[in-house]
Amino acid sequence: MKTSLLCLLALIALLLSSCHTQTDDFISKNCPGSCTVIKGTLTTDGRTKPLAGVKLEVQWHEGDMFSSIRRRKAITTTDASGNYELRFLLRDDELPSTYPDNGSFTVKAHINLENYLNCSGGNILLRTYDLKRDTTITFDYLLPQKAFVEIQANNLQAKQQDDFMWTEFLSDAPCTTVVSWYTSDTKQIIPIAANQPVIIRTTKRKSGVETVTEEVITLAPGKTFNYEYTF
Amino acid sequence: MLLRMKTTFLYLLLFFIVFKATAQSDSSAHTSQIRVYFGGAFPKGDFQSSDFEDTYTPFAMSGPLMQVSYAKAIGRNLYGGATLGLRINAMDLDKFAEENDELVLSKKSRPWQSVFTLADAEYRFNLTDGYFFVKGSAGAALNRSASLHVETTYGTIAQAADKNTAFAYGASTGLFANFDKFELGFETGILSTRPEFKFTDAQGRSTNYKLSMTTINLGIFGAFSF
Repeated sequence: MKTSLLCLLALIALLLSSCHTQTDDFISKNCPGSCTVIKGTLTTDGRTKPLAGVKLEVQWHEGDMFSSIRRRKAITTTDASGNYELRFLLRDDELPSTYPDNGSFTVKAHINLENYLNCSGGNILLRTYDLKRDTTITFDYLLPQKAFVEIQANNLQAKQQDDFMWTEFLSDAPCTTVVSWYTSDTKQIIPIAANQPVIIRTTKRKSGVETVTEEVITLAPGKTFNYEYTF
Repeated sequence: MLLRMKTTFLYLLLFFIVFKATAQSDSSAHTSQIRVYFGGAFPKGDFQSSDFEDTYTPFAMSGPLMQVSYAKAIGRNLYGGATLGLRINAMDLDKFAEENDELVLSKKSRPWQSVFTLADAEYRFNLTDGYFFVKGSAGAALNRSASLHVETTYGTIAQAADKNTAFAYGASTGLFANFDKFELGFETGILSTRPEFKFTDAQGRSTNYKLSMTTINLGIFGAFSF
């Protein structure tokens, strides 16, 4: 019985894995006409420093957990000023259609995710569902280097039912991190943008009184700042 | 295809060794040799790449290699000489666009081509019925990049061929059997050059790129000694 079940599972896994395909679209990469263009500048350090030599790639993806197709459409490398241009040709099956059959385009950066802060947690800079032919999109992107804040909350056991406390990390970055404090989580390490100002704002309500405190820090890449707050 | 060629060469070698005995003579009496070689050139490394990330993807396929060599004895078992060679490797257009690609109306290309002029140094080891040799070569190669012309429903993708001469080198080894003044043998080796080509994209922007055009070669030759 167990053997039959294992064989069945193996067969299902084989069937599922065979339905996921990835192709390279060289016609699109060498777009002969009616091109879609995504261009812009990639920077870091609060948009003050261009990111040169970063490989960027456009992919089209459609599917679900059972079957999918991933098609590489264009690839380029940022120049010395961080400028890039991705030029590609949309095929008919990549044009916008009705949800949920709609595929999506992503712009991915070939970066070391240990060094750079990105909202998606992965290497996706842009995701879009409705690109058209003969269209140019300008997309400037800030890709901050990564620093860290080790935050420590004290006296959380004093929190009552209507009390709250959270800490936000605000900067000119693609996303904002918010930590809500409960009684169990008293210490966390949060990645933040390096080489640019980051506001650490903690908001708390204690016994009906709401207070906001702010601290501005600028950290070098890879450095860790210790932040402690007592409820 | 490679496996079939290897098998053929091994049978040929076996044939030479078995039927050699009656025709044996002392080839050391001959001081010069002209050799005509024909075989397959199998791209390796960057040259065979079909990588989407390449500036210019070569898509090189295996193709013919033809060589004419002259060698003259310059010492005991040591020969010096020269080789003129032509290597042709077509582009794998089916990797550029599938046969049934709905966007493609027609596609064609001219192959990668290299003309080699090499100086050779060869050392021969006497065998009972022939010789085993090792050969090193260095010189120049006049290279031509592949051209591409693909008609699509949205326009034409056209990449013109470019030419560049670059340093070339080779190394090979092989066996041959004597039939009086004639010899038959097989040879395998590597042939490499790294020219710089200009690539112009659809927007007219030019990029210079260096491409290692390396092939592993396997072939047979006939030779005449005098």
